[in-house]
Parts: sequence; C-alpha cells; structure tokens
Amino acid sequence: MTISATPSARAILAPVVQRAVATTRIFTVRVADETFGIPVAAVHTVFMIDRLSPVPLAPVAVMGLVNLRGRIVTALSLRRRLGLAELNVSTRVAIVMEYEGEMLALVVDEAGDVIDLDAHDQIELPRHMTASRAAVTQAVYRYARGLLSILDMTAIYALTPAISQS
Amino acid sequence: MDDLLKEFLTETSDHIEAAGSQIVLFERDPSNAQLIAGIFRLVHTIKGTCGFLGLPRLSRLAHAAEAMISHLRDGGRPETSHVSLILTAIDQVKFIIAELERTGAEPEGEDTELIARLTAVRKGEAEAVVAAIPPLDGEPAEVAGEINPPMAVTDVPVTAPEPAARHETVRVSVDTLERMMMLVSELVLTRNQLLDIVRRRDDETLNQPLIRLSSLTSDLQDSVMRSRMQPVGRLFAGLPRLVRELASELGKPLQLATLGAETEVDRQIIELIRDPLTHLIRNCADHGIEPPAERAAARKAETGTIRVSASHEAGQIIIEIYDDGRGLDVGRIRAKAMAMRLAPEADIARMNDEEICRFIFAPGFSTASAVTSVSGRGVGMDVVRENLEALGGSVALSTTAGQGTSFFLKIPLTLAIAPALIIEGEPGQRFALPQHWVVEVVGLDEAGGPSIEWVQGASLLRLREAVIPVINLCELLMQDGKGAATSSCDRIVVMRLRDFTFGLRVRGVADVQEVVVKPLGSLLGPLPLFSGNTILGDGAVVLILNPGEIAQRLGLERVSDFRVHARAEEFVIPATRTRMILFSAGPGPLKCLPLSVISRVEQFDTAIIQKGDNCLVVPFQGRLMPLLMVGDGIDPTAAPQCPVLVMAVGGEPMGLIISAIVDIVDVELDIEIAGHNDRVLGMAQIGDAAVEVLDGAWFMNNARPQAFARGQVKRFHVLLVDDKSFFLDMLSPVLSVAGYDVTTTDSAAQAIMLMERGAKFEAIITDTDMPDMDGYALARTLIADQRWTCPPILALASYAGPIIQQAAKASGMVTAVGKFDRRALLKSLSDVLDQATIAKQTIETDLIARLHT
Repeated sequence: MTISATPSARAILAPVVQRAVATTRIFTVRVADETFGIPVAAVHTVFMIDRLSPVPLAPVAVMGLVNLRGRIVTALSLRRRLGLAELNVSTRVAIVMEYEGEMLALVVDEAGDVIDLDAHDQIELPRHMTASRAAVTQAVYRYARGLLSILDMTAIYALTPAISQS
Repeated sequence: MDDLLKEFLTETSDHIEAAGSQIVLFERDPSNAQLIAGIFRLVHTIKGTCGFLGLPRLSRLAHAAEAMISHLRDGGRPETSHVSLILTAIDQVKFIIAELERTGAEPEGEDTELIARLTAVRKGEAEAVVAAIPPLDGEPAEVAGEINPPMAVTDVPVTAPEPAARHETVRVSVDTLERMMMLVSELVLTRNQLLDIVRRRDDETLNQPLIRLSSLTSDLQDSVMRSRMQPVGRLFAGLPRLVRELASELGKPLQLATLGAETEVDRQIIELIRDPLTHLIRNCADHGIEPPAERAAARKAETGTIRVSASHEAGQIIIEIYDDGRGLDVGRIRAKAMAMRLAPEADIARMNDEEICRFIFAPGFSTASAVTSVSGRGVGMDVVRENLEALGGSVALSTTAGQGTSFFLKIPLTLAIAPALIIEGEPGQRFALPQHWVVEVVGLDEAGGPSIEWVQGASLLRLREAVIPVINLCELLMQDGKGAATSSCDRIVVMRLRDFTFGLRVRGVADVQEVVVKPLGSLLGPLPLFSGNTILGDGAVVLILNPGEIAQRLGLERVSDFRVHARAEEFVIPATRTRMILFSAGPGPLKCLPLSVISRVEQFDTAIIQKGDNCLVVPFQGRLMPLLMVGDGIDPTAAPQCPVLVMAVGGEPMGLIISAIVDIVDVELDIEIAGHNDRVLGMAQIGDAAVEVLDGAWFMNNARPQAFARGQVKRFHVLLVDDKSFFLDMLSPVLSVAGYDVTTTDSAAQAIMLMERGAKFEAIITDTDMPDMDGYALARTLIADQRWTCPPILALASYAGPIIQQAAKASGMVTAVGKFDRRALLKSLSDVLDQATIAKQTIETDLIARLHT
C-alpha cells in the first residue's frame, strides 16, 4: 500500500494553531495496540522494510539505515521511541516523512486510515499522562469509539544521543 | 521568484566575478581594448536588463559605472584609483545581487556617494571628490585613491584571456545534476540485481543485451559524474584581484601567473579549497615575497611572482602555489619549534630541514616577527592542513632559501565517489573504509607471518620490523568500548595517516568498491567514527568508517597536539625475497626467471609461429615479436598451442617458448652453483628442487639487441610539447614504446615552468604552431636562459618542408620533423641523443687523455 501526500511537512510540524482550523487530516498508525495520529501532510509514502543496516553507537530509537529507492533513510522505531519493546518480525512497516529537509522512516506495527478530525473534538492532555509521553504528544482528540493522540513529530525526532564513550 | 529574474541573477553573478579580474588585467595592459570592451558590455547588459526587470537601484549604479567605463574605453588613462573605484562598484553590484537572490527584492538604500564618485571620474575630478567623501558605510571593500605607490599587478601571458572559443553550453541547475546522479545510482543497483538474477538462470539469450546494458550504465554513470566537474579556473578567477589588493596592502609589487585553469574537479571541491588557497596566497605575498628593496639587494626582479598551477596526477588534483620570495627560514622555524616545545629538544635537533619545515603546519605557529593584518595572526597554516585532510587531501611544501617556496595541495578529484574496502566486523555486518589511507591488509593466519601481541591490555601488530598499534573493529563499535571475543577477526587493515601507522582488526575484507559517499542523517547525532554512508552494489546500506577517528582512538594526537614524529633511527635491510616464475622447458631441471621481467604470459597457436630471419617470429599486438627457445628439446609445433613468456625490452616485446608454467614462488634466491652456459646464471634450491635460474638479460640481448642496449645504457627522458591533445596522445605512446620516458605538456609556458622547477630532459620535442608562444619562441627562450643547459630541441610541424627546417635551425633547434612521420621522428630523436651521448664521451676521453699526458 502506498499513500502519497504533499510534502509540506515543515508547515505542519510547526506548532499548530489549534483553534483556527476546523478540521485536521490525520494519518493513523498502530503501535502496541494503541492508535496514534500523524499530521497527514508530513507523510510521503508507506513502505515495507525488509533489509536494515544497524548503526552502532547511534541513539537507541534509531533502528538503522534503509535504502529507499536509492536514498539512504534513517529508520526510527516508534516503539523504541515510546520506550516499548521491539517486535520480533522480519518485515516492518515504515512511514516515510520529511523532516527539516531530510527523509526519515518511522517504523510502526501497522499503518491505518486517513481520517478528518474536528477541532471541537480536541480535549486537554490528561494531567496524569507520564511526562515522557506528554512530551511527544501534540494534542488528544475524541475519535469514534475512543481517544486519539496526535504525535508531535518535532518532539519525536528530538533524540538524545547515545551515551558517548569516554 | 520570477524565472527571468532568476536567470538574470545567475548569469550576472557568473560574469561579474570575471569582470573583476578583467579590470585588473586592463589596469596592467591599458592598450587591450578587448578587455575593457568586455566589461563595458557586461555592465551595459546589466543596466539594460535592470530597466526591464524594474530594479532602479541596480540600474542607477550600473549606469554610473557604465559611464565611467566608457570613459576608459574611449582612451581615458586608467589610474589605480579608477580601477579601485570600479572594483568597489562591482562589489556593490555583487552585494545587491546577493540581496536580490536572498529576498527577491533590491535592498533598501541608495548608492549616491559611489555614483557621485563614478560620475566625478568621468568629469576628471576624481581625486578631489575622493578626498572629500568619507568611506562608504557597510559596503564591502575599501576604496580608491590611497594606493601608494601605484602597484602594478601584472599577469604573465599564459593567463591572458583567450578569445573565447565558444562551445555550445546549456545551464543546468545543480539540483538536476544531483537528481541525475541519484537516478544513475539507482540504475546501477537495478542493473546489479538483474545481473545477479541472470547469473542464476544461466540464460544465454540474455547475456549479450545485459553486457551491453551494463557497459551503457557504466558509461552513463561516468558522464553524469563528469558533468559535475568544473574547471579550477573558477577558483582562479578571483585571484588577480586578491593579489592586486595584497600588493597595495603590503606595498610590494606582485605579479600573478596561473596555469592549468582548465583542470577539472568536482564542483563541491572547488568551494572547499577556496579558503585554503586564499590563505596560502596571502601567506606567499606576506611572508614569502621580500620587500622591493630587499629583492633589489638580492638581485631579483622587484616584482615578486606568485604562481598558481593546477594539474591532474593519478586520480588527484595537485595545486601548486609558488612564490619566488626568500624561502622559509629553517633556522628560525627550528628555534621557534624549540621555544614552543612542539617536540622534545633532542628530536628537533636531529630533524632535517624538511621535517623542520613541516612545523609551520602546527597550530599557532607563525614566523613573522611583525604581525600584519594580512596573514600574521598565527592561525591559518594548521587550518589549511586540517581543511585539506578533512577532504582526504594533504598539503606539502618545498623551499629553497633565497629562491622561493612551493606549497602543494593534493586533493581528490571528487568527494562524491571514493574507492573503499568493504570490511566485515561481526558476521554479516559490513562497513566501508576509504582506500586512500590503506597501506596494506595482512592476515594473521599464516604461520611465521605477522602476529598480534598484547602489552598491558593494548594490542600491537608485529609486522616485519615495525610494531603497530591495532584496534579491533568490534571494540570500536561497542557502546562501552569492551570488545567481544576476537578470535575470528584475523585480518588487519594497516593504514597510515600522516606519519602514524595503525591497524584495524577485522573479520575479513569482502570487496573493493567505488562508493558514492553520502552524509549521515542528522538524527544519528554526532558519530565521529563514521564519515558518511553509502549504498553498495547489492543495495545494502553501509556506514563509512572515519580513519582519522580510529587513529585518534589509537593515540594519534589531535591536531592541537601536533608533533612531528622523528624518523626511526635504524634502518634494517630486510631479507630480499624475489617472486620467481617456475616453469619447465623441454627435458632437464625446472627453470625460473624473476616474475618482474615477464610482462605477460600468452598462449600462441603454433600454426601462426613462423620461421623468420634466423629466429622464430609471431604476430603480437599488431607487430612481429621474436621468439626464443628456452630449452633445446622443445618442438613448438608438437602441440596445437604453446605457452610463451613475453618480456618487454626497452619497450619492445620478445617471447620465450616454454613447455609449461609450474608455479610462482617467493624465495630468497641464493645461487649455489654457477651456470655452465651463457643463458643460465646458475642453480638454486627452490623448495625441494634444484632449479636453473635463467639469465633474462641474455635472452633480451639476443632477441632485441638495440632495444636492450637502449634500455640498459639509459632511458632517455623526452619532453613533448603540443597544445593539441590529439598529438600528445598519439605520439607519447610511440615514444614510450621506443624506449623513451615521456613527459607531455600542452603549452610552452608549462614547458618553461618544468625547466624552472629543475626537470631534466635529454631532448625536447615541440610543436611549432601553438597559441600564446609558438615552438620557435619556446626554443629561443629555453636556449637563451642561463639557468640551465638546454637539451637539443626538435621541431614538430605538420610537414617538415625546407622553410620549416630553416626556421627551426634559425631558432636553435636541431631539426624539424613531420607530425605524421613516426619513423622520421624516432630516427631524428635517436640520432640526436646518440650524438649527445657520444659527444659527452668524447669530452671524457679527451679529459682522460689530457690527464695522462
């Protein structure tokens, strides 16, 4: 499955003026039985990774490097980024995004649908959300049967480098 | 931005740079109407287009500049102040254009003062107005009027702008090139996959088209790569102006010569070497060239010369920056190195001049006692070296006291593509290692070979006489620096960075590939161990290791702890092992020859071997090659094919008929029993067998006596000068096959430069018809110069008619030969050189005779 979107990632990744927009297009992904939303404009394509070169000494969330049709793309595991254990599978789903002029692949369990969210459905971040999760969450919306967290991609991509060697 | 505006900006930025250097040339040579007309046209075009595009500020400025330039064009004498004023105007145009590029609109403000000054010059009030108006605020470059004494920046004829030979060109954006590069890389990957599939299928019908596809892909890759290349002339364009400014700043008259502007290099590199080059030129002007009075006292021309030349050499580009100044003061550098404690005193005392000179690349090292604004701040040479090393290049220097200094920048042709070893760490884990630094790869598995030894937790490789620090790749890759079991890593890649030799222990070396280097993604954070990443032929992504970082982990000091490593004190001559080819030839013992004398091993059909005059001959590479029998008992016609060892004698091949090749061995050759006939040097023991060691020279001398004599007595070094590469390419192989060492050059100026640098030739062959300086003028110049004894010069003309012979003789040349008359060329050359050798011997005979009487 390949879904293409316009590459104006930067505009979306900047802090969103939340009240002004009536509806927001969101791309949904699933990780560890939980659904997250990603601003759709940030997403280039979805593709399957079957071959990955690990990068020693890189931050933990970096799974490795992949060859996306001749371009070298850094693959980031959303599971690892959220502090979850990695799945043991040979093929992985990756959402390819552009971030600050660079192509990145966000590895998730499953790619979901594109949905429209109404500004009225936005709720406040739950106060008892753990700080680490709150840091990467841009907003929370009521959606269909439950709630949907929209990820703050700038925060997701802000990685702390691995412990440097002395 | 408007397409029209965009195009205007690109065009103008290209030309404006050239205009700057042209105006400087014009100052030197006011009679050259072509130069000023060119600048006038450019400014005129800018003015016209500005009006059209609605850029009032630029238009007004261009108008004023145009008016002034037209004054000069119409015969107004260019004064130094005028030229400076035009340069200021050019700077201002550049500034406005840069702003336009950045914001899409003209910057706020007016250029009233500058325009007033430009207008004033035309009215002949220049000096008065200049004096009255304060310097402009916030504008680049300083202005007019104050240059005292008026400095001449001269330009040697070699760089005089040639009447542009127009090639058809199209402007292509860098993005398009980058995209083409990417697509080609992808194409290569796809081709490789296809090759892989076909290899498994074994389908004959696919082979032919696939081979074609494969070579087309490689050609395409090559062309795209080439399209990224640009002439270094782009880098040289700003130099005349730089030198002019330095001349006036330092009060030293300077002249600049540039050579090899057409040498091509990747566009990325051009930008990266701009700063180091500028810095070195500043340095030459400031520290190298003496003040005029000092030069006069040393009987040198008052005008100092700075020469920048570029050339290709073995996949690298070499840029030489030369000044004819005082040379480096070795004594002072030595003293300063001691004072700065850059190395232990005893070491410094022991170092030779060359090693001492290298200290100038140490941080904070500056020998100028007066700190000047130009280059005396003591930063720089270390930065130059650091910048070049970061590019995979290097900087070296040579200096002669009182005569001048040359800096040599060695730079790879492209950063985008580099040959790399593909090495293995953990099983299946591959990395690329730039081959540039690799000296050799050694195995630990052989008995008696190199071995690893441990000293208090540090591993060292004993390789021949050296002990080299070694680190395991796995250990480098672990977070905590602790290595896993290392027994299976039994290959050591030995690398050298500057003087530091070190080893990297790896599981294996899988391959050598040309890799396209791409920068690491920013998310990976700072990873000094890797310098980039790349995609291999099989589509896998691998990281590129950074040898500099590995060296540092192993104890090579950072640049800030720069220190010159003293040379090893003792030199032990290692036992020489010779690689021998072992073969059988008829009955009797095995025979052997050093492999180095064999150039090829061929299988010839016995049917094509013919009996020639007294020996056997066979057609080989389009000519007849004599064949000799090694043993008496071989019948070359017995089998349908026979193996032949081909030896090259003074550039001409000959063959030895043998029965079969047995082995190739490395042995310490010890001839125990002397030979009983001329062709055998003696018997030696190799392994268990007694082997006849043949005398290669005897065979060579028998088959090719003339070539052998030539090859043995002396290989003459010949310089070939022709501006057309077609003839260089055609004639240089003719000469080298005839047993001459050939150096080629494409201009008279370069030939003179080679002689100035002290190159020795036994003969010079020059084209008569060349631009700038023709062959006759070259001959006269070379012969007249007192600094060297000019070797005999041969003229090369399209035909050797009597008038040309006459002109050649009149210019002091020995003779003239036709370009297409290969035989006459070789004959004349051999006559000339034999004459020269014989003449020399006569001198010696005379001398000896006189001494004895």
